[in-house]
Amino acid sequence: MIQKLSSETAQNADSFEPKNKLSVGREDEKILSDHLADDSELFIRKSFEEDPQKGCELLFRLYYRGLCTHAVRFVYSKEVAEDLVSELFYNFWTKRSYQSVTASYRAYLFRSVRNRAYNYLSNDLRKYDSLTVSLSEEHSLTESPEQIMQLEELHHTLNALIASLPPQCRKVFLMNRFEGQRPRDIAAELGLSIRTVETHIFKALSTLKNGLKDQWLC
Amino acid sequence: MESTINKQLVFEHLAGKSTPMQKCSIESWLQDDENRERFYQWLAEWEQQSPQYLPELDAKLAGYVAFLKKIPESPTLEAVLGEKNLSRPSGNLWARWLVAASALLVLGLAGWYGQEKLLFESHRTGFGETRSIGLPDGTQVMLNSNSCLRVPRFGFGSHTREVVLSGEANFSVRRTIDNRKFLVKTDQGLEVLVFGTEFTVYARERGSKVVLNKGKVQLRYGADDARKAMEMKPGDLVMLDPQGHAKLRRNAAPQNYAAWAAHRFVFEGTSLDELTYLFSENFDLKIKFEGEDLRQLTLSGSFQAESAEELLQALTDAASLSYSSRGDTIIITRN
Repeated sequence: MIQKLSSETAQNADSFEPKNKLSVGREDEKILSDHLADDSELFIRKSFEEDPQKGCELLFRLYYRGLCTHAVRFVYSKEVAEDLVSELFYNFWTKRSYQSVTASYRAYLFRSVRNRAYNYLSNDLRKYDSLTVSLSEEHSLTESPEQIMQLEELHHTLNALIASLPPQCRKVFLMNRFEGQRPRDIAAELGLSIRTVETHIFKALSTLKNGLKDQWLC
Repeated sequence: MESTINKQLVFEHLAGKSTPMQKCSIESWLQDDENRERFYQWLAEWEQQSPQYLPELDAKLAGYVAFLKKIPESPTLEAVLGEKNLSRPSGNLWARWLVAASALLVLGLAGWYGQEKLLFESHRTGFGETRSIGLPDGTQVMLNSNSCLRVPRFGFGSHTREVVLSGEANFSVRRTIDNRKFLVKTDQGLEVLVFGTEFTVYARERGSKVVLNKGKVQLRYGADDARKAMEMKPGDLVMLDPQGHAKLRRNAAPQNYAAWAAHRFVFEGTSLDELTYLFSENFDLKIKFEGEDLRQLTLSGSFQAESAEELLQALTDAASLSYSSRGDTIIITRN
């Protein structure tokens, strides 16, 4: 399934974003669907009261995938997205963050992963040019509606920017970032020189960086 | 106005298909706490319906559950990293799958700092300090003095488990259910791929050595455009010079290279000159000799020592020498 998606993503120049092609297709799906239909999270809250360990496990089962696939819209790397989400869950337990969740766990987790993804992206793009984007170290995004909207804008802009790249450049960039392949392997697979591959990656990153200049929430 | 905001509209908005006017309505709708809750609920639902890809869940969940079980009391993060309770995973289901393997790595001391701080947890030891660290996958790491181990904050990659080391460390690598490979990287471009066995690596500015106890490891070394790979057999000793040329020697004594983990120092015809590296790398001490000929003296034997002081005492006793210290410089003289 993942393989299929990656080849589509990388090769089909016209429909960059895969739409509704994946489904969770397992027993988890039913649990998840039932759960999503019920917005109260009563069951989870009860689990946490009985045994926080079970509660964390349940949250991971329910939301890990959704959080990863949301984070990847910002960071464009499966590996980074999964690391951000795992880190979130590990902190959730070790720092007992679950005790301080007043609204829903779902809102807490999604809000947190968006903040983490945003911070990662801003750090990541700044590495390539320290002059153009200057940001304070901390981006403590609170819950203002404006900021929620801006994060949506951000991943839409990213999506549009990547879609606007020349096909070969986009393909190389996604193989490198999204799939986590090394320039050398991409070069071998596409019959390009490593230098060309690196140029494509560099070009894609500077397109993103320039395109996002006005997007940062300061 | 607010009544026009429904799930369908939010889904369209998330997909980037909302108009500026609709966005404006959604923004004011989000002022309300309950609506924000609803927004995140729909966001979760939307991600389930149109995922960007399908993340692998089972192994990650298993890893998380193992982690939750290992740290039942929810201690602080510092306690988790520094504690020994991680170093002995109790006989849970997970442990049965894990076949221990042990590796000693002694690697160049150049710093590997800065980049990608977000993704890595750094474990550091000072001069004269050793520490045991339990990684989330069950792997045990004994970190020697003046060393830094960088570990992806958790989970590792889905295909390999990678850590970055500068300094020295002893790895006891655990095999996972899905046989994920364990990879130790260094900033000198040497990589050690562990197949679940025992081995020893020594890599410093003046050169590198790798010794294999049993099983199999693969070394990758050389410049980026000319990477080489080498598989080692038990008893093999591979020496790499700083230019990346490799030499193979058979039948080394592998256990001696892991001795420091037990505060034991093993020498086999080691010159005092070579010992100066040991002291500067492990204890940040300079050694000077009164009489250059002392440098060529060699030592053999195994010494137990917890500190630089103890080691110096043991060494000088054995060789009928004496020492005095001036600041961080040690001067060795004949009796």
